[in-house]
Order: sequence, then C-alpha cells, then structure tokens
Amino acid sequence: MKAAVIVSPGSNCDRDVQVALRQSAGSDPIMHWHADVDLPDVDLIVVPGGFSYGDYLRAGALAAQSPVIREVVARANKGVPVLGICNGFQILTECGLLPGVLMRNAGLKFICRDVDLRVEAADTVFTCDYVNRQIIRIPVAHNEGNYFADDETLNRLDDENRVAFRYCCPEGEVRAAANPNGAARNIAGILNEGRNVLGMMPHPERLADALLGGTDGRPMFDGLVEALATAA
Amino acid sequence: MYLCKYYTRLIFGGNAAVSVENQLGKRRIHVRFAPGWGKHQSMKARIHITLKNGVLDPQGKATEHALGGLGFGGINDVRQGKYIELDLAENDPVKARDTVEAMCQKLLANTVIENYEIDLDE
Repeated sequence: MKAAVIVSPGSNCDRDVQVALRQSAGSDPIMHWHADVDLPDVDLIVVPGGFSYGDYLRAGALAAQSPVIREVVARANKGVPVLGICNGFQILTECGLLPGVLMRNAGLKFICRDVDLRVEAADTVFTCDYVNRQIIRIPVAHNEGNYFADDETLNRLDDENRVAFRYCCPEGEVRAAANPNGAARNIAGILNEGRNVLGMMPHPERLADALLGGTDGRPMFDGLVEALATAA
Repeated sequence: MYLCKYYTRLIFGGNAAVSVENQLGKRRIHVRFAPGWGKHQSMKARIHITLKNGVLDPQGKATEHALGGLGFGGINDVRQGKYIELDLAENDPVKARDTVEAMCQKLLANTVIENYEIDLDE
C-alpha cells in the first residue's frame, strides 16, 4: 500500500502518522509538502493533525485553500481513501469534503486526554479491523472539536450511518457526560457519502504502539493496509 | 543619462519613460508617465462576521457572565464575532462589492455557522 501524508506549515502529527503507517504497512509513506501540487498516485491520503497556518482565521480554513488540498478533493471524489485526523478533520470540513464545521470547544478549554469512543460504522476501509459497538480508548487534543451541523445534516448522517465514532462512557453508553467538547450528538468522526473519506477528532496514531501506553489506534492502520492491499 | 534612466526605472518601474535633451550646454530631462498612472485606487471594505442565530457562542456567554460579575446588569445576550478590514485597489463600488462577496463566500466566513455584512467606504 502506498500512502501520502500531507504536511502543512504547522502540522505536528505528521511524524506520528508516518510511524504508525510504517509499523502497519512495513514501508514509509510519502511525506508530501502542501505547496507541491504534483501529488503522486497513492492508495491512501492522510491529512494529519496540528495547527496548520497557526489556526488563523478559522482552524483549517487557510490550509483548505492550499493547492494540494484541491488535488486531495479531486482524488477523494475519484474514490481514493482520505483520512483527516484532528486539524485534518477541520481541513476536510473547510474544503467541503465533509459536511458541518468544528467549532470552539463548549468549555472554551484546550482538551488533551484519552477518551472512550464507540465504533458506529465498521464497514469502511478505515474501521474494518474494529467491530460495531466496540469501545476503544484513544486521545483527543484540540481546541476546536465541537462538531456542528444543522439538524437536517445530522439526521442525514444518522440515516446513512455516516457517524463512524461517538464519544461514550467506558461502558459504551453515549451520554452528555461523556462528551468532551459539546459535539452535536457526541459525534467524534464522520464519513462522506462514498464512505472513502473519514474525518475524526481523536488521534488513533497516538496510541498505535504498546510503548505509548495503548494500541487501540493500531487497528485503524492495520485495517487500512489489509483493505487497500486486497483492493490493489 | 544612464543613471537618470536607472533611477527613473527604480522609482516608477515601467510606468515612466525618461529622455534627455541637450540645448546650448543645458540639459533638459523629460519624464513621461503611462496614461492613468498615479491615479490612486483605494476603497475600504469593512466586514463583520457573526455567528448565525441558534449557533451556540460559548465565548459570548463567558463574556456575558464576566460582565455580570463586574456588576453590569441588564445584558440580554452577548455574541462575539470578527471584524476584517480590507484596503482594495479598486474605485468601482459594484466590482468591489462583488469581489468581497466572493471572498466572504470562499474564505473569510464559514457560512455553515457564520453570517457576514459588508460595508464599503468610497
């Protein structure tokens, strides 16, 4: 599997994704600088977390206009899997690949801690190594993770089973108390219509190695490698 | 002469041409400017970006709370937004408004949650 990680000024999880992909795929992904338009042909594109362009104007708004993101949108529309994590999720909503917007956390504080997530859609290339209703624990680290969309959009996401992860309590119940940032309907990650674009606020790459205290994030990368190897 | 041309180019770029005339030992320097050059084009656009009604504004709420704590009563609601000022090289208000409108739609505001209002200062 060939993967590319998009690196913008201010990305800071690109190396973590690189390590996680190397571990699962056995080869290094291409680290692609945002200003280079010629994105090589790849089986997977990851838009990593960080503070692209210093979060100026709105988180992800300026990166969403960089030349390479136009190419990422074109590839996604052709069916190439695109994974946006944290700031990557914000960029994917700002460029229109995913609906809604990530607003400032309801508590106005930057949140950096492990959260429990319930897997809601295990039928995608990103989540095929998890099972539906599985509870995983991985970290969030964000100031703008409060997912917002109008009711019509939220209903559509639910009806089409496009919510991939929800914040839940350790037993798996989706409750307001388990919601770290005020996100609508406890949404932590969503899919596009084609199910080949996933945006999520939590960081699977930060818990993909036992040395870091957990491996609940690793199945995402193992699953991607398996799914995309079979596809190719 | 060479220096004269050099400095003209340095100061005015391609907008001016210089020529020198020698008359009875006196030198006259002529500088011709490109048509329309020097006509200043400037227009201020002031853009207010606010959260749409119904979108929760935790910053506004916290500010409202703090104002209450300072003893300022009688506040029904506080909503916080953004103010952006653009200096445009444009004299045509219709063109300017169209351009700024497109800027707001494409980048300056996120219309999922934000409204914007454009004021032009001619």
